[in-house]
Amino acid sequence: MDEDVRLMLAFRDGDQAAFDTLFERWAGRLLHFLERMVRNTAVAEELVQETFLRVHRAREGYQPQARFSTWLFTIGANAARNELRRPYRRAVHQGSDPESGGPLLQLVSPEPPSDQVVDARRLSQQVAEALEELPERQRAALWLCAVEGLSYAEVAEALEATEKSVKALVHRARVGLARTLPSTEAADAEPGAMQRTGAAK
Amino acid sequence: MGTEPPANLPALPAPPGSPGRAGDERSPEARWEAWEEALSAFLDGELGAREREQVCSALETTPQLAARLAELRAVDHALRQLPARPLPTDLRARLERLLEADRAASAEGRPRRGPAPLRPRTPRRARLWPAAALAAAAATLAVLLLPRLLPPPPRAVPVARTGPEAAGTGADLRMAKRDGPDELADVGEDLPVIAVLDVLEDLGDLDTMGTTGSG
Repeated sequence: MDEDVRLMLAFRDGDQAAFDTLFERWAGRLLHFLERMVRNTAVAEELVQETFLRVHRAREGYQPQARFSTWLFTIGANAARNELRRPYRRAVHQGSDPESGGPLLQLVSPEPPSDQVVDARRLSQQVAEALEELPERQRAALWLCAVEGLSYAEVAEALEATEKSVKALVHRARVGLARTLPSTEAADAEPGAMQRTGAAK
Repeated sequence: MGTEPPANLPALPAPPGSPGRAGDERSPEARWEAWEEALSAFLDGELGAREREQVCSALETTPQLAARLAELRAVDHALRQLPARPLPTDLRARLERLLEADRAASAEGRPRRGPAPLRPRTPRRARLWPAAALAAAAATLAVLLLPRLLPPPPRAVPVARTGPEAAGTGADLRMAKRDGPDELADVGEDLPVIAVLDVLEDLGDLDTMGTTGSG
């Protein structure tokens, strides 16, 4: 049984420590996802709380029908979608660092960074900005699939979509982001990844 | 970045039992896009065994496909390299405060506050439709009923036009507003606005009530 499902069942049966463990295991990854979705650190933190509050409220009726991560990201994606559809949602701080939500100046350290570090930061910034430009559903589908490792079926459940549309969303998002990356990155990326390609999740 | 499609693309991978796509009549651009989608699914491990084998064979014979696969894989790699911000140390404590408030509200039978409903909220534009409809109805009623409810104006001095062509036109209403009692003229002008404001206020109250999700 999925370890997280086991923890959730323990929490359902009254083990409060199991809830704490689930929070420790998943809050960071959920925050990372939600930051990419709502593009605002403070709002993403609120949505993490909201998501876990919902998990807490739902404990009594919890039935393990899917991986815990699928369920958690489904709740999180819904919360993000609601936030993005709010008529007067809080403005995204323009010019802020997409990684930390703080000002870009935070990237500057007393020691001059090496060229490699600068290149990595620049690439990271490029990717983050390109990700922000993607439509909401493409962004969510690609993140859940490529970063969180959810299957198309699981992403479809989280986004209330069909597997076919998830396949198209992920594809379009990848192609869209690929346009923004420097061509040298492609050849250098993840040596040995070819062997892993196509492996079932 | 972007690999250019080759002149001769291999047949698209097809699941077992399907007729295959060797006789694909689509344009080269459409076939390239279909190949990109197949490569994307290949990266995600979403292809069946036979389709995977077909993709592997095509990658060996078509360097452009292999180059495109590397580009798409680089996207995933770049995404995974995005630095994650450390979890704020007080986030768990903040959640605990929410949970305590939730438990207290539940114990006292009060509506639980906190997260917005999971259901997407109705867009504001959609919420304003009932208000707009009510306001329009109120305005229509006001226009129809006011002339019957109001006493006839003390004097009937045409201000816009004179002569027989003005009879039964809007000139009468203009006269009433100009020469009748001030308060009646005010009612005639403000009624639709008041109705709109009242309705909007009501809707605002409803909206702030919110509901709790099913969890």
